[in-house]
Amino acid sequence: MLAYFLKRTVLMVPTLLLVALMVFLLVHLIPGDPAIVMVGAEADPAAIENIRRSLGLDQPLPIQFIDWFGRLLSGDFGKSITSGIPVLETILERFPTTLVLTTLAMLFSVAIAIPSGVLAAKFRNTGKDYLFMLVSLIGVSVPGFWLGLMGLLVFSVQLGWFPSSGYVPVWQDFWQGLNYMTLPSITLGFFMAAVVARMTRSSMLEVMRLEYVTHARAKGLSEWTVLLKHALKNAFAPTLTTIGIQYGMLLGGAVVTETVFGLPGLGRFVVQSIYGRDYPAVQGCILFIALVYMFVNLAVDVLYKVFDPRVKF
Amino acid sequence: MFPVLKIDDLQTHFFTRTGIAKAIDGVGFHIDKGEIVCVVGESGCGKSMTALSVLRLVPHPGRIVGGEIWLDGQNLMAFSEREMREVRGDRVSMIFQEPMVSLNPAFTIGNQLIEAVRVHRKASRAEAWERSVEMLRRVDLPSPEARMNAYPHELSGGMRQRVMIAEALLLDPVLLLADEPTTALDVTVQAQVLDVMVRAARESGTAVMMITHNLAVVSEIADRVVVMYAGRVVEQGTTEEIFTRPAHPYTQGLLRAIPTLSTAAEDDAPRQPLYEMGGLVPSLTDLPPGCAFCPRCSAAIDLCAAQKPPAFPLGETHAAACWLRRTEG
Ligand SMILES: Nc1ncnc2c1ncn2[C@@H]1O[C@H](COP(=O)(O)OP(=O)(O)OP(=O)(O)O)[C@@H](O)[C@H]1O
Ligand SMILES: [Mg+2]
Repeated sequence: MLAYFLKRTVLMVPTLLLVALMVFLLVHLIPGDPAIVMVGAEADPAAIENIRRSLGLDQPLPIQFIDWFGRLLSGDFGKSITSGIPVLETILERFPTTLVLTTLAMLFSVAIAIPSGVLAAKFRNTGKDYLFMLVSLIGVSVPGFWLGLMGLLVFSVQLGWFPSSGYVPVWQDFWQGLNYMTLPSITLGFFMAAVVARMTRSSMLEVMRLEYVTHARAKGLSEWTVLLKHALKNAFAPTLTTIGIQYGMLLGGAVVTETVFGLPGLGRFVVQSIYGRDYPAVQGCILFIALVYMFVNLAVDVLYKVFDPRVKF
Repeated sequence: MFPVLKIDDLQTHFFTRTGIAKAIDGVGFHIDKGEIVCVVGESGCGKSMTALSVLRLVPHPGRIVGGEIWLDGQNLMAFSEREMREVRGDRVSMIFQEPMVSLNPAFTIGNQLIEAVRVHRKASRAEAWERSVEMLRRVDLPSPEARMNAYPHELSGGMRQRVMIAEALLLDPVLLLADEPTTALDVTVQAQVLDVMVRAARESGTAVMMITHNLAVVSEIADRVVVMYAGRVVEQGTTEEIFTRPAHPYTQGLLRAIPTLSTAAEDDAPRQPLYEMGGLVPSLTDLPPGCAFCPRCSAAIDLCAAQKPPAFPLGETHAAACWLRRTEG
């Protein structure tokens, strides 16, 4: 178990190298030059060249990459070009907001998805099931930003249930903070809820055909015990994998949600950094998010054994 | 005295897209207290569905559409779902064919046994644990305490089936439905597991409806035999009657299909080819109007194709649904 954990952690290094390379290339492929962004296009070419040299941007790309990745390995994410603040410092300051947002979104979606997936499976091929399938189809088709804007319009502006601007972190004032987070996390989690619910439904249906479910009924258990104990625990293992994968989608979706709702999270910082061609900041953030995603999936794989004891590490 | 189980003109049909499959089309037989009755017949003839019909657990799109099922003189067809739940696992339990997939892989053996006790009895976890271990010991499962904490995949097929037997007999049911309990096991363990099941059932006075393909097993354990073909009972009688005086051409064919000990042993003797019945089982969605076996029967007369034969009594306990056995009156 511990050995497995260590092995997986070590295996993250090559993955991380690959991600780092891709991030680096993608970021440098974005047209535009940070030096020009900083001083303006009309500035003296000599001044621009000066800045480029001070940022190390005059070096060939491979050198820049090795330089960056080398320092990364020792935990140095570099400094932001625009603000001069160490990138890691900003990440650690902003990530908690994103973590709270995505965690709430995940909790919300799982809380909605599992029961509705189970119910849809129980009432398969009836009106209730078709309604569920329709709603979940809408759920996976509606773009996140549109849903966010609609949510803001209806629940914040029209009904006034939630604040439409401003932000209080949950760790300062839990209830107040939750109030600010509700709408964003529901918006963000809606897509995932639809995906996870569909997955729950199909793996429930898969499991419900199996003999041990008939066996459970033959023991005299109530239909709910059969479904919620015997079927769901088995159906949850594949669902869990989906949840792990979807968490990556949440981290990506957070960029849009944070922008729509004006939350000071990591996603919005990435967007700002891209505008500023702030290479170290963009690269650092994306790499950090990739790392978080890898750990979430490691956790999912370890948790998998709880639901499927046949798995060996 | 009521029989433990009495099935009367049972009809269980599957409503599929391609039509109505009459998986069970008028089955009737009974099982007395403590008796072992074997149900035999080719794959797909409705043996499993008969057992599941008794528990009223026929899977979708199947449904019991007619007939009566009596347990100890009570009509199960009139029971509410709630009352049926009290019957299942307590008065009637079932053992499934595939021990690999009939135990839940996500829960320990102990969890599943204790659950089986506690659905029906007011027992503490400790009491249920005691009772389960006791039962595992009775089916000769080695180190039963340790096995309680094991997951099904950690046991061999034979051990799993012992666990199934233990679970099925935990609450001393009046009837055990055993659906090919040893078919999926290694030949070497089949006999042991069967032996354990029969012994444990006899000890608790449980009647057994045993579904099997294996006629050698039938001759060894059965008190009476029910022969099914295409959703109907074609012949029933005591084991002796069926094996020595088979009356239905289908039963006769089945018996001819078993290699006898003598032909297997005499290596020098010219080997007799295994008898195989020609023809195919008719589609259950499109049964012929007469006897379902008629298309494969070499002795068929005109009447066979035209009209469904009722069960003609041939003795106190013996009956065959065959026009050739028609008795006057
Ligand atoms: N899910 C289903 N959908 C449609 N028809 C079904 C279904 N399950 C069973 N049947 C029908 O019921 C018939 C009887 O099935 P059953 O499982 O009782 O056969 P069996 O005698 O137990 O065969 P086996 O020896 O292979 O276990 C089948 O031939 C099939 O036509
Ligand atoms: Mg069967």
